[in-house]
Formats: sequence, structure tokens, C-alpha cells
Amino acid sequence: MKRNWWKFLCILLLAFTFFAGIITPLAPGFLITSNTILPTYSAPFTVKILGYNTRFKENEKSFSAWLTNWDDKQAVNTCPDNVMIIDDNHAELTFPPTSRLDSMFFGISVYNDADGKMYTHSAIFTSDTMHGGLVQSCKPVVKNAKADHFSFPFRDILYESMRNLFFHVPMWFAMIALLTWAIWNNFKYLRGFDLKYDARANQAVNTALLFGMLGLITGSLWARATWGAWWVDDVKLNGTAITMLAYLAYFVLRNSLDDEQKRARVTAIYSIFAYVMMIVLIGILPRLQSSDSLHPGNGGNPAFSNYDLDNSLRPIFYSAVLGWILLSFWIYSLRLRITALQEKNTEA
Amino acid sequence: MKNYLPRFTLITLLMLSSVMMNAQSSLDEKIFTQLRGHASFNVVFIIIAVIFTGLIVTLIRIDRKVARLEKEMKGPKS
Repeated sequence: MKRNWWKFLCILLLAFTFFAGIITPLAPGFLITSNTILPTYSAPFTVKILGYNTRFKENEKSFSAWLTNWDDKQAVNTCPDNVMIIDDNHAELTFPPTSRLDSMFFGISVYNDADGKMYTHSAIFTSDTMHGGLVQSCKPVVKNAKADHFSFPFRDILYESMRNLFFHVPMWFAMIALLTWAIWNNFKYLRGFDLKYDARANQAVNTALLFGMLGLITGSLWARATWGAWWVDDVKLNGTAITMLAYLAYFVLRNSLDDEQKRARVTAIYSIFAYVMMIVLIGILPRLQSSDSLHPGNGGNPAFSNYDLDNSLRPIFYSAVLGWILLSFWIYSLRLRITALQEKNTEA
Repeated sequence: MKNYLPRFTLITLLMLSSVMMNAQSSLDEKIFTQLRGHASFNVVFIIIAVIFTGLIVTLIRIDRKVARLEKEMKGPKS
């Protein structure tokens, strides 16, 4: 029982991950359903707003909305002449004509006390630069910047699929943890030529490949939903594909050698090279500024840590990573125990 | 707080019938925008299902190995 504490920890962490990762609602946010490209700003225009997880009607009294500069940095705000709240998720804003030359893009902020401040940048666009621009017409009051409940950030494109952070990303963490364990045992083997370490390394690579495959498939599905293609030309994707092929070649190499010691030595050295290549391909190359990657944290893209300013994703993500790594080592240990028994059996 | 349970049930049902993935292109834009938030939830469920399947397959493989081992260990003794 005492030796199995980490298995209980694994179950606990994964249960927490599933529960919190699914149940936690997405922060309130909104999409614009009316035409976002306007012919001109010199005529009044109506913006239709579709709220997500919002409570417009419930908090009608504190409701306010305003046009801002596209980046929301400069406090130039134009308020609508008329606000029509249809229900909790629908509202229509009618803005007055604006006349100052300023920018082609404008963001829209929507606020109420319960949902907090919601903001969509570059929401409205016009090619009419002669009449574009905002006139300061109101000073909105923001009492609560955030929603009044625990929530995940509302992100364009990602939306609810942000939860995949707890399932897709830890697959790679588990894979890298197992491969690191494998290379550690490879070194140990090369120092004393004890076949025990070779068996460990082999089973670790075996299990790592399972998690790598799961990571690839889940990544492909997520890419289809957010980036619009099953496979995109991304350094990180191609890097992982090469890594997976390199480790598949590891098994081909391993099965082609009959002598145990020779097999162990050749695969140990091959595995060390494959590991170094993996680190370069999925750890270093995608992070270079010159490389173009859609993955957060790569190619100059901000990582998730920049997004979740309220740190709502962080505790669940860390427990997910640890939980999945423990699960991968659990599977690995089962496999290792089986091979140990098999060997004992053939000896006897 | 809203009750999120009906939504999950609905999404799971929709996912099971695999309507959502194919229907997206045929829906008009307004309905699509309304569903976009919910539709992206489906990806999460599909991904969990994929991982679940992978783990179950692994479990079955391990089970088979153990069964074979049990057979081998039993064989010579009896």
C-alpha cells in the first residue's frame, strides 16, 4: 500500500483534472453577429451582440457598452445612443456617426457588474478612413473587471476547446518524461552493461510512443477545430512527426538484432541520438523567432501563461501534467513487470 | 450560476450522432456563430474519447500479455 501512494496521487490528480477541466465555465464573452465591415462611419450604425455565458438581461441596470480604439489602450470611448437588451445573450447597440480621422479598426467593450468587462479587439472595420475615428462621448465605469465566478478565459478561436490544454498538452509532457527516463537508463546501461537497464529504457520508449501517438491524434483533432486543417505546416508538427518516425525506427533497429548485448548497446546509443534530436526538433527549433509556428510559446507567439492573467488555468494544468506523467509511468511499470516475469519464466 | 448539465447532455448526444462535425458547413452563419462556442466543446469530448480509447487499447494489450504469461507459467507445472 505504501509503495503505491503515487498511483493514488495519479488517480486523484486526474480526477481533479477531469472534473475541474470540464465543469469550470468559460468566462463571459461575446461575438458580433451583425456586419463588422461598415461602408462608412458617417452614418449611425447598429452592432448586434451575441453573448456567451453572459447575463445581460439579469444585470440590465449595470449594462454598458462602448467603442474603443482597436487595442483598448487609449481611453477614447464612444457610447451608443441606444442600447436594446433582448435577452441574457442578445443585445443591439446603435452608435452615433463619428467624424474624426483616427483608425480603421475599433474594438467593442461590453460591461455589466456580474459578467465583468468583456472586450473584442478589432471588432468593427471600415475602409472609410476619411470619416473614421472616435469622439470621446462617455466615461464608462468598470466596477468589476472580471466575472463574479471562477472561469477560464474566453479566447477567440479557442473558446471551449481551451480545455484541451489539460489533455493534449500533458501527453507531450508524459512522452518527454518517459523518454528522459529512457535516456537516463541508457546511460546507466552503457556504464555497466546490465540488461536490467536496457529493459527499462525499452519499455519507457515503448510507452512514450503511445503518448506521442495520442498527442499527435488529439493535436490533429484540435487543429481541425481551431486552425481549420488536420495538419498544418508548422515547425512543431513536422518536428514531432520526425521524432516519432525516429523512435519507430528505434523499434525496427531493435528487432533486427538478435544478440541481446549487441542489441542493447546499439539501441542505447541510437536512443541517445534520437533524444537529442527530439529536444532540438520540438524544444528548440520551434521557439526560434525565425520559425513560424502556430503553437503558443513558439516562433515568437506568447505562451498560455500570457493569456490567463487570472491564473485560472494554471493549477488545473499543473495537476493535469503531473497526473498524466504518473499515469504514463504506471503503464510503463506494468509493462516492465511483465517483461521481468517473462524473463524469469524463460530462465526457469 | 447556471445549470450546465443540460448543455453537456445535449452536446454529448450531438457528438454521438456525429451531426455537428458535418453540419457546420450547411448551417447559416448566424446559427453557426451561436453554435461556435458549444461546437468547440465537442473537440474536447472527442479528444478525451481518443485518449480513453488509447488507454483502453493499452490495457487490453497488457491484459493479453499477462494472460499469456499465466498460461506459460501454468503449462509446465501441470
